[in-house]
Amino acid sequence: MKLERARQNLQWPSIERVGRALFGDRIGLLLWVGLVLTFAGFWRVGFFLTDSYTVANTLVNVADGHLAITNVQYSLTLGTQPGLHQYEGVLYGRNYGQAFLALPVLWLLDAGAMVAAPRFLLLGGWTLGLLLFTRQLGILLDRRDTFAIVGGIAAVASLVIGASVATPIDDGNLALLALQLSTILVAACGGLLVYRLVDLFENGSIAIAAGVAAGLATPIGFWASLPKRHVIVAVLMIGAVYCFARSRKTGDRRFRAVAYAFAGLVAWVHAFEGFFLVATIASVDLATARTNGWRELAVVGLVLLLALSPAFATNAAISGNPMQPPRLLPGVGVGDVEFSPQGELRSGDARSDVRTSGGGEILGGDAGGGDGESKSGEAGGANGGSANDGSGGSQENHGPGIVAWLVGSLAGLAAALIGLLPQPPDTVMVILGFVISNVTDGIAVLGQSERLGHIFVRSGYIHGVDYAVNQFEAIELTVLESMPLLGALAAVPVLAGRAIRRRGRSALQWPRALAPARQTDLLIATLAIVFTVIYLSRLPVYSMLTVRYLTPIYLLGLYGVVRLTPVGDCVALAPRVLGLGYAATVGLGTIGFLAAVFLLEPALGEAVQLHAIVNLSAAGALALVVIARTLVPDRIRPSWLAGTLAVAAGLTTVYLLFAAIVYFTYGNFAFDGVRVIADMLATSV
Amino acid sequence: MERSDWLTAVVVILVAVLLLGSGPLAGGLLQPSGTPTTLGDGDVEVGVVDVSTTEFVLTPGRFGTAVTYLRVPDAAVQLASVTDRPRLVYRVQVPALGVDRTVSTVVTDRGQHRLHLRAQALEPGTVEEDEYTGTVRVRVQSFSTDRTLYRQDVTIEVKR
Repeated sequence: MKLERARQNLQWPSIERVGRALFGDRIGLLLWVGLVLTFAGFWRVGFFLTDSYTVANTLVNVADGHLAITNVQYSLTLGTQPGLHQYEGVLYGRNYGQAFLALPVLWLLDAGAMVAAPRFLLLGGWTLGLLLFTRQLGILLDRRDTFAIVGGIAAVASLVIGASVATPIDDGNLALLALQLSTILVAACGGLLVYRLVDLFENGSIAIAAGVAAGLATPIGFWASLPKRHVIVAVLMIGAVYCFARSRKTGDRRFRAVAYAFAGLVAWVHAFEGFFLVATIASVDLATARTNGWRELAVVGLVLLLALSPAFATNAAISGNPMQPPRLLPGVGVGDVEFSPQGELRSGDARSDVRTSGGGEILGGDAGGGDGESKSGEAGGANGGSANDGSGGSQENHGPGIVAWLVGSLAGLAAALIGLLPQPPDTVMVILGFVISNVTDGIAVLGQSERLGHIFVRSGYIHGVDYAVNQFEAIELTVLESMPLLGALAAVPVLAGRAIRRRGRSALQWPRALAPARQTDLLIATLAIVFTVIYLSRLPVYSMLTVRYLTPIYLLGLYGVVRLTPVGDCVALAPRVLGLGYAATVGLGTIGFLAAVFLLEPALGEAVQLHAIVNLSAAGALALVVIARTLVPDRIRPSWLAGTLAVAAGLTTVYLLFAAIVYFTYGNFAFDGVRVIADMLATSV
Repeated sequence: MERSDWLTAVVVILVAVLLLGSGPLAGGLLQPSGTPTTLGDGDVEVGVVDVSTTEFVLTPGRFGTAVTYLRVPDAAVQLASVTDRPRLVYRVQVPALGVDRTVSTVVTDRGQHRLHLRAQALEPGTVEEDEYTGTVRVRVQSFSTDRTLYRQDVTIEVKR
């Protein structure tokens, strides 16, 4: 018997077992494939923000087998680009983890390009994906033949139409394709992971809705094909939360360790976000774990160290110091303010850097020579530096006192511990100083209500934001305008207040005594607070579009929304209203905004702000309905709440579609069929 | 095999044929050949260029954008004939406001072509006069030619 089992274990895992481990079930697979197909559908091959040039060049050079940037394949102008760093005269990129993630995709594309034209590789891949999707859907719904016919016809149609209007893609674009495609694949994992996370604690239909919403009703969809780090960090974070939740629900200790692996990998993409993620997960994990035996903790520590080792190895290979990520090295050329100590040091002169570099040229804008219109989105350019310098000086002093002291002393303790390591202590002190100042500055912003309003509620033309880089177009949305679904979180204080009133002090429990779902809620809330606070002192700022620094909190917030009792009840009672309402909103919303585009002929900023106002209204309506349902559930029908949720979600999808196809025009569509449609619309916008 | 499997197999084979047919193995038999969007050689013969010069205006931004927009009409170009792949360029300049906007489109067919310029936002506080003067040009460009088809000075009215 034992021998039998041993022999079974020896066998290669079947494709079913691998699929089950990755996707959970057929729904997970469908969700992932469906999201990939959707994101790829409105994928533009090109550079939206200028610092993506650096990451693309990083990938090119990593693929050549070295970390140093010696081959600048992508460049807007001759010379430097934002995000390049140097050490001892050698140029380096950044986000090496992101480049390594895209590397296998690049190898596949390189191999494919040996037997087929790159454009047809994309088309063929999309067609096969569509075939897989319809086939799996047929199996799930037990209508195999019908779906095989429908899927077959759709696939042939996509192939024939796509091939007939196909234009060649330059071979030199393969690295950019790989970078964008890898972000798309990761973004789809975001939907999958949210589905699997919610599925641990809620019923299936809510989990599916949450998974779809994660991709199409949050800014994840906006950034899916734009090769920035934000989607990758957000998805790794949700992966860590999922593993944490699974370890709590099933008691499987392996997942506790894997949570740290996800968190540790973030450091390879962005060291400081990785630091905050590991620190937050560790504090919640240690406070809530049933057992913290030394053996278990040793395994956890080892896994974390393994996950951090690619980042350390990369840092060591560049500067010899494993604790010194590329972002800590001196920058080159164009002013670039990022979430790093260096950005902090340079934030004073960054604005003048941006200005003196000749506006139009480096930052996109109207490239000279009559070469078409480069839209403001592309002009986004250098990463955000804080355009708001301490406008609320007096408020900054009294708010954070005790918290700052607490953070300071904790960090001091950590510094003392790290000081024991054989590292050059100055790097560590720079990092710690940066960490502390970020947290305290962020907390100080919490006292500035007008500023918070511009970050979370209504954007419009925000005074103090440097709109010059976007040709004065007010294209920066707030959190609620980007994701009106978050309006449902208005019920949180009501629910919390009621719980405390009903159960008194017993509503507050020791973290260790909380149920698995509650422990996960605690982790999600803590992460959301930490990853908001550390960026607050930099916001609002230009080139955020959907407050992209806060991208992780959109997925965390979505989890919060679906965990609300009234939301869960109403979705379970009126799933049809949710589904049909969403479809109707997307359909009617598309027609409505097309009409607005034709009749009002809005400028770019006006179009974006029109979406902002409509989305904010939906968020407000949702907040009212969800509070009403919480207070007087008998008088508010479930279908009303399901309906407002559907409208809020649908409006975000409409914005994603319009932003990608109509408003922000740059590069060329990956699929020529979409290009043909967009061209027809472009003549009027 | 079931019926649905056959169908799937057919599509997979079609994809494989397309891919292999486009690659070096087949000598590039099937190539992406849709309308190229890149500039080439050639020239155009113009019928009519129409820009309604009364529609140039500076108006306040809507929906909370709080900037002034320069809004310009489309340029409609009637082409009697086109050879190869030249491009049409529509350019609007307003020196007093530092505005220099262009849009271009590669043309391959004769007939009507519309060139659309998006409204341009102007830095708050820059529009002080009641009227500005601008210049409108439509050009044809290719690797072998570059000439002006249409040039007109326009008066831009400020509406507050």
